[in-house]
Amino acid sequence: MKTPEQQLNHLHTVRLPLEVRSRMRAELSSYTDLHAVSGTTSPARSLSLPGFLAGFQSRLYAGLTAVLVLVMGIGGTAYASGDSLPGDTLYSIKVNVAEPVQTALIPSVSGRATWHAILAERRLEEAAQLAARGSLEAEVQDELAVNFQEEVAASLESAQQIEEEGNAVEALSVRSDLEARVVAHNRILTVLADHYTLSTEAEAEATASSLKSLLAVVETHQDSLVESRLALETALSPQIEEPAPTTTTLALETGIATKGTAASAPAASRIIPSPEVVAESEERALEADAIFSRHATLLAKFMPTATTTASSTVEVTGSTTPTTSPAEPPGKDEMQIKK
Amino acid sequence: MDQASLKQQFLESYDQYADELYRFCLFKVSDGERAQDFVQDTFTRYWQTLRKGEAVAHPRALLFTIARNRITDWYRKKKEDSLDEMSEGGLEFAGITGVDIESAASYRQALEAVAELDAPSREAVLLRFTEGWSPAEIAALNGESANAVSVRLNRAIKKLQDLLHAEPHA
Repeated sequence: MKTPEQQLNHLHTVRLPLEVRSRMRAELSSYTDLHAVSGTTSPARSLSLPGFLAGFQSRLYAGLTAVLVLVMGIGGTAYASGDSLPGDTLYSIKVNVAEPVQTALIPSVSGRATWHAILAERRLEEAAQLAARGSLEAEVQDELAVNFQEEVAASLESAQQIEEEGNAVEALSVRSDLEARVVAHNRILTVLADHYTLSTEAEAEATASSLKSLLAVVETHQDSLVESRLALETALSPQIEEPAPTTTTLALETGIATKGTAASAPAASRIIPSPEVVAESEERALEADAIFSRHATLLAKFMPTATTTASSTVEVTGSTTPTTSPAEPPGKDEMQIKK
Repeated sequence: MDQASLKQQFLESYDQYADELYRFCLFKVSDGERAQDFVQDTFTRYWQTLRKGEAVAHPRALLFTIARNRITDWYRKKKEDSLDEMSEGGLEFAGITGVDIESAASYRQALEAVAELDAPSREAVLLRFTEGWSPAEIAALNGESANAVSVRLNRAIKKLQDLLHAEPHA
């Protein structure tokens, strides 16, 4: 009889099946091209696509075939993968092929910042769609959370680059857009989470739990986004010495929990938001409302009351219940008067 | 390092370590397809480290560390009874692909005995006797001393001998 050591040694013969091994190698190879070392020339130039397209390695062909892939899809599938969700057969192609190809084709930094914001939003969108069906599993949620974070990071990296190039207003715009998307989906996911928390249906608890985990991630990032956006706004806005009103306008504008600041604002100086900052904050609120309203149908059966119209929503404060902050409207008016 | 060289280095690591990593994941998750997913996930994350320009002194150790952490996270999210299974050493091999049925039968005896060990011993035993790692290399993965690993290995082998000796041998 073999000794334990010998038997264990024999396990060495267990291997990856050959076709799995080579498929995985090819996918990893494409992955490295699409996520090239920073400083490498645009990935679109050295795009390695699977199948018959792999032969066209020259720069010109790579660019053209990438465009063709977008328009026609790989055998008609890539284009059709747009709406797929985790669990669908086309989802893998969507996130591993179609989206990276589209990313690679965007030439401008601000375009990429916005695109990554869109992709971050998509991951949250997918989570919401699955949750609405009651089928958001913990593993899937985890994967979506990770991808969401990666896209946010990528978007911020581009925003940072824009700022470093000296274009603070542009940087504010892309950060603001990302924030709007995150804020809107925070609201959407919160509606779903509240419903599932209270529901007594089977599996509701699992979905509620997944949603809460995801919301924790979303909220952490939202807070961080708001913080850096504020810092940028401060940099863009002139600061003047003036007796302060009882509340600080910026604190109101962001809606960040203002317990305590209402009565204790320093009287020394006040920040007057520049016109760009004001315009961005209005646009951001409108964008968040618009995104939320687009999900009215999806959310209809989950809302406690039918309050999905834009007029009744205000910029989210990062709290877990969608509330309208009573202090905010006067704050906005006040800001406009002071302008 | 430029993209072309780094990519080549990366793919060489794949060629060298993919099967080993697969076995490592397989014996932890007992599911062929899931193990494959972990392998791909691990190499993907490994590439992300490489492309940032971080120097990697020991690729294999890093790969195994990434895989191990990912699997631990995954286990944490599974329901309670799966965790109990793991701690009791209850492993199932129904889902193993890439292994023909006859071999699986002969592996079964060894694997069932190994399953009786606690998780650190199980890992040490598989890395030492299936993969041929030295106690020092195993120790590096865990951040403990080579001596501690050797002691654990000796105890584990003794236990396996008892278990396998007690099994009726066909």
